[in-house]
Amino acid sequence: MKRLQRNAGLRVVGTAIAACVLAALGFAVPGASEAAQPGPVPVAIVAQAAQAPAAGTPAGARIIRFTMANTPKIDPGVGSDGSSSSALVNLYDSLVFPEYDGSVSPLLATRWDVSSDGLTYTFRLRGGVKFHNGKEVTADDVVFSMERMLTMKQGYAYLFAGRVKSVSAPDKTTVRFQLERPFGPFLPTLSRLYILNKDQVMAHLQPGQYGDKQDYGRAWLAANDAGSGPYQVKEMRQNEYLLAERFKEYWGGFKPGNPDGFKLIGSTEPVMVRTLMSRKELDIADEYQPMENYRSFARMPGVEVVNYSTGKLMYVATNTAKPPTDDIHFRKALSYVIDYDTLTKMVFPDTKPAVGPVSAALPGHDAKLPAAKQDLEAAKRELAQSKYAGKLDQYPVDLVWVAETPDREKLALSIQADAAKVGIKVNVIKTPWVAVVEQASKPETTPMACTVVVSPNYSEAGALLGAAFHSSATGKWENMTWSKNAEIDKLIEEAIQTTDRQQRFERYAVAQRRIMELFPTIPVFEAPEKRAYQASYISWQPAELMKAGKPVLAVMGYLNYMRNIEYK
Amino acid sequence: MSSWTFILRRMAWSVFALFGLSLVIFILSRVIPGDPARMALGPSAPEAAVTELRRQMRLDQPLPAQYAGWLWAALHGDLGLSLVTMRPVLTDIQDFLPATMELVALAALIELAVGISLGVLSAMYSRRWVDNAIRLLAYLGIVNPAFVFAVMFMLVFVYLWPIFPAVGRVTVDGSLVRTTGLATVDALLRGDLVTFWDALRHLVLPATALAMNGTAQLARITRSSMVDNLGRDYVAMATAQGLDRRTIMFKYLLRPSVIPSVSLMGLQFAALFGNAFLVELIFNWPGLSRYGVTAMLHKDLNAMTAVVLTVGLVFVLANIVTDIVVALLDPRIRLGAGAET
Repeated sequence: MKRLQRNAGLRVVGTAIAACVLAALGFAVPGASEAAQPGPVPVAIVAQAAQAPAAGTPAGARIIRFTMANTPKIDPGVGSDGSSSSALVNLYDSLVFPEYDGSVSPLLATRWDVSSDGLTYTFRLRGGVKFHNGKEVTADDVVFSMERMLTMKQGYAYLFAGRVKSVSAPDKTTVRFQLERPFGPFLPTLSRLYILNKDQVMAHLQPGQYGDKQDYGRAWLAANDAGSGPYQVKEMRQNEYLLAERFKEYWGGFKPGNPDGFKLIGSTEPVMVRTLMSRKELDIADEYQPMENYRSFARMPGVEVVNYSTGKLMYVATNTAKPPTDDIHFRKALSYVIDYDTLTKMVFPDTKPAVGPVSAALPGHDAKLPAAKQDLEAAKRELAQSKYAGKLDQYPVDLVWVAETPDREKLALSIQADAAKVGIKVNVIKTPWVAVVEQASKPETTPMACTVVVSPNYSEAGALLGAAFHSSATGKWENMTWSKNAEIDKLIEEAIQTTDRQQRFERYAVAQRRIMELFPTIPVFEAPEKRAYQASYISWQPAELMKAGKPVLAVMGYLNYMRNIEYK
Repeated sequence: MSSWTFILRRMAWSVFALFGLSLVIFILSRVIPGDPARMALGPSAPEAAVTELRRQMRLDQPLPAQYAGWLWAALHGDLGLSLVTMRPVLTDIQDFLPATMELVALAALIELAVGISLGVLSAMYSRRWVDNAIRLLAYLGIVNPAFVFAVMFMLVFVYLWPIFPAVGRVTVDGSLVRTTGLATVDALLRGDLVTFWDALRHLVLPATALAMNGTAQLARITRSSMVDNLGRDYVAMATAQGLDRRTIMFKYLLRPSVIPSVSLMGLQFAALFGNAFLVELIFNWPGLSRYGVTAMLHKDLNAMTAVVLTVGLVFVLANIVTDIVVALLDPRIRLGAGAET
């Protein structure tokens, strides 16, 4: 009896230890690790072995896997962030397509006419284009898509609300947009109007708030697509991934090496991304990785790191309604103390000092403006002209950096150290993003200075000018200047209402020069989008263009356009 | 009072506890700075759209009216719409809870099996090298949070020595056919052993990382409880009667000694939900904890409230189950509870 009891006790302990050992050995499943060996692997094997086939797709299907900050909102009336845009450009077609050189080319529209007053845009649609369910794309679908977006007022609706007066379909293949007032960059913004299958959406209505349109198909479109794009939804798993497969009948066809599908993983967790890249279980890494990960990617066999210009610009936004940043000479002095060279070479590698108030990557940028440069003597001269000369110790500057972006603390501390050289006292303050957004809503709560990156909504200088410098944007985090300068407003409005591209760009240049004279805020550097990809077996068109020395403007989401990716 | 009455009373009190919890989280979630409607629609959304969303969410109403409206809807099974996923929160909870439950259940199992076993082993070889080694390991388990183990496991067993899958719940996307939402159980129900094995392999690293801290605590508590009990009269009596040490340990000592560990397990179960967040993030595990933190970062009010209530409910249920198990293990507690009330 005693022996039995002793054995029972030993069994308990033994079983537990055996369980630990088994767990540690990973159950030693045969073949579990063949595809996961680190180090160089022949391209053909990698392309096959690294791919876990999606359900229902042929074995060895080539799926491009890439990470983004979150799982996308795949309803074109709702999604507008980077992840959503990456999904939408592949699931839906738009009338026009933004090219990497900043121009737009026809997509669903084959040609268009603009009335002489710039108020009427008429598009002719490509014939024979099919939605994923086989129905033909008509002008009625375009009208429905625009009306849906304007009614829901979400996603990219802000690009069209207040600008589009009406949209009509004179016949099956003609769409006409009537604008409230001329808007020069209307064509590039139309790349954000993703065309929905009206009949399919209307067949999936659920109770909602939009009258006879009920929920406008929102619930159904959160997990399904109604598009005509080159890829279609296979599986949408919230908080995990979107899996899409090729739409075989896509009107534009596919190149032989184009992927069979893509998997958008909604997580940028650095350890996970680094591990997956090393195992070749991830093909393109996101832009949100810490610097050490990019350095690690660059050392991985077959992986390359690329820097894309996106039109984003880092500013030290200054509040012109508060002392001492209300003084133009003080603001200019603060800009002169910043050590742009060290920042862009050492602290934020691959960035470039700002040249004027908008990104040099954006069409319409004025290249004649000088690049930002440290000049302590100029800073002292400006301070001497400032109304705060001689009493700088009484006016310390509160410089806020966004808590969720730890790298920006380095920027703030660098400015603090350099400002001290000319007698400006800077208090570095860490503030959560939600608090910054809240503070920016009133001039009295807006920080004296705040590090902020502003992205263009469309690929032209006017996008940044409107967002960061027009007085209608004050109260939002993009424009914390509170300058409300009627002259700048007029220059920006005149520019964006000019339909002729060349004339519009000339007017953008005038506005940029005047902004630099009035200097409401401090442009610091161009922030590129860093990405790593498996160059050993993938050819990524924008990366190839950059290697060939051609400029690439990465419009949000379009870097991940799968028809521009090919397996070698 | 019978044990059933005792349990029913505990459950009735739990309803009040959950009501209080809902009130606290409802108020707290609205005190956090930031406009949820603006955050949901993005910085560029027209003000009219933001105002409309505020109205839909009743954010334009006084706080008591907001709470009354929410409570009424919640009692009718409507927890509102998530601003992050744009789906009903109830759908999200049904979708994400099973993944975390599966993770937490395996972690709890590992804690119980390994923690108590190590505690027993440590007590059996008290003050010898086995005991010292286990105590040292337990210290390491306690001082390091779960995400440190998650990162370490990821680096060792996925990056350097790739014997485990890296992320997700299964290797082949779409191979999960949902019945209960628990990948392993669903695979077994379908008789799909390949998917079951695959799902289990995906579970091992995150569950073990999650279990490390609790395992260490259970090992230490079991050890100290056993060592304490070793000095009791009944042990001296059993020893004097000539019973061998292993019989004393397993027959007479183990049962009373694991009671503190089992009680601790009730608290641990809820703690596992909280700790699961970073583990879920690192292993891209689509669970409730990750959903909850995403909701908090985006000030997704409905989702935040629902997640906290769900975890609260799990906590309450875990504690009731713990009370039952402890009462089963020790009749003195059961009888004592009855006499007291």
